[in-house]
Amino acid sequence: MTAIETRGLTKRFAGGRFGRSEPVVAVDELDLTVEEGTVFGFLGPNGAGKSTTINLLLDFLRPTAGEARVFGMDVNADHTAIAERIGVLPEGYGFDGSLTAREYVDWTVRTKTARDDPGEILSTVGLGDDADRPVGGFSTGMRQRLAFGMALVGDPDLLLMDEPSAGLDPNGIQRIREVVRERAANGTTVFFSSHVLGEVEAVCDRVGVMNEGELVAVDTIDDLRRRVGRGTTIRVECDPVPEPAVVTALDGVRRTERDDQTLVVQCVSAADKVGVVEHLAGRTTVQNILSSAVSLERLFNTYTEGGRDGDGGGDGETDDRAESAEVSP
Amino acid sequence: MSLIEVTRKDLTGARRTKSLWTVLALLGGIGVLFGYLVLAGSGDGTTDPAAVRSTVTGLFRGVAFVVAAIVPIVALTVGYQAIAGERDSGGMAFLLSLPNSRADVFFGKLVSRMSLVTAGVLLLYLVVTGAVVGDLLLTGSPFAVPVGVVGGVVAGSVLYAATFVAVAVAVSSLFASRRRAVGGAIGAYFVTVVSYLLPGVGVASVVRAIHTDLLGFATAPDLYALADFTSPFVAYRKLLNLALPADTQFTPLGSGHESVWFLSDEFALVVFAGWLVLPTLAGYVRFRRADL
Repeated sequence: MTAIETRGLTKRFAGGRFGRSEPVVAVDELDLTVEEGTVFGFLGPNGAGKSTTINLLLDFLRPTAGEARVFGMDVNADHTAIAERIGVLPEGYGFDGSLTAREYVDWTVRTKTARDDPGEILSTVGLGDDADRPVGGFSTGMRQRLAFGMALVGDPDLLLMDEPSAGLDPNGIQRIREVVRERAANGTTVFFSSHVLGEVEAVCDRVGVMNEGELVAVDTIDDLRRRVGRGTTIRVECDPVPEPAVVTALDGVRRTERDDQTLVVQCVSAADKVGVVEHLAGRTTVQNILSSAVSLERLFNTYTEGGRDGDGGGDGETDDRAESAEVSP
Repeated sequence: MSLIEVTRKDLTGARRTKSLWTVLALLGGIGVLFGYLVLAGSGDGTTDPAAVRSTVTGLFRGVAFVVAAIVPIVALTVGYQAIAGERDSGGMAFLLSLPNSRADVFFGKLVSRMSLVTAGVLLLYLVVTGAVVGDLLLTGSPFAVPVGVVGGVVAGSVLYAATFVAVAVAVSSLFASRRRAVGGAIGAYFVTVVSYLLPGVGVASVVRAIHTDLLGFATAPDLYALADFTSPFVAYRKLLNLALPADTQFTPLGSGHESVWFLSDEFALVVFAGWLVLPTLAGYVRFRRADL
């Protein structure tokens, strides 16, 4: 069963009056399918059409053409039936500062006719001690936690989140990630947009990349990497350094270079790196292993060509280093 | 019914705003002022029930007139941000992420704001009624309260207030920002109140000019009177006539139209139904279709 399905979904915004702004095709004939039980990351640069797509799914916006279904139901005609089954962390929300966190969760519980204990929800998102404070005094991160908590009410079948980590400190991001993993493990479908690449990589089974209103790629992160073609790189420091040809012959190895005391090996997938290390360990002393994946950053740029900013794809060298992880032998 | 939850949450928020208490204090204060006049003006302890009845009737007629002037501003103030405010602040994102239909949101807000204004109007009359009852008891006058007049005036005032709330919420639903909603509220006040009062260029005068000068018809005073009758303030006074005794009736349309059915006092109910239903419907239809 599909959780989310769009067919030819299109949203055009009319230009402003007096020529102040151009008409924009925010979402352009989008065909997107998200199967139940997956954690789907919706990636793209700012202005790619991610939020517009989510707002179309939530029936905040009405499509210019095409249709969208959630759990097989029409997003417009069955809005409330869909809303019963999903938890939403919307974009651009705002709280009435005079209400307390508990009152907001309580309201959500009652509107969804759920059974959750508001105190428990608030503890889950780390607001247990602030439950009875008016939201007006909350920081951006606390508001985001509260909004996330409200999305969890009623144990939804689908968590639909627009930039869930926005405004959160690393602890908050970690907490959301844990809860999302936990819910996903229990069968909840998760769909969230992000331009924070690490977050998508950390929790998603599948990724869709949006650019200028179009879905330019949908795949698992590994497969996307493979398609980008640079694969994954491992740097092995050894003494003595063997000839590159020793590993080039191995399965899944694309290219090998020698760089001083280090052998730089490009593999097709992460699993191939293990074979390389094992192979080397039998022939020389491995002193250090430095592994790096193609960063999503580069992946992203490859697909989107810098998005609407149009500054082209980065060369990725610095990204590699930023994402590299050291593994002690 | 998630409409009730929308209303409940809106009322919780409203209870904590200073402006609501300011408005209630204003209405209560007017009640106190009238109550003071009642108590200060009494003392002779009349024994004639008819005199008491006539005094109390005159008092409520006077209060009703003051209410007529204040309620449009109060109701527009309470209602004009109902929807636009939520769109501006992002509250709408939560409202519609939950299992609320747009009807739940629109009518939940309408019910909430109407009950706030109704509470204010009732508070005002409660204070006045309290003063009257207290005065009659203190002076030992016969307890000859014209219940029909009091009930009629209160009910008429509530209906009058409700129409302005309906207009305010409908106008609010047209705007996505607070700032623009202010303009909308001012426009609504102009259309519902000021446009009928402008000497020479009011609604009736404009209808007359179009009818005779532009379309070339012979003058039809009944038609122009009907144009005047669409004014909530005119309809309010005609409505109160249904409760007021013959000698204290309002004649906002002048005399000579008594026999025309659409200028009768009863027709005021139709005018109010129109003001309640048409803007609400138009506002809701726009809101239902809107990109939020």
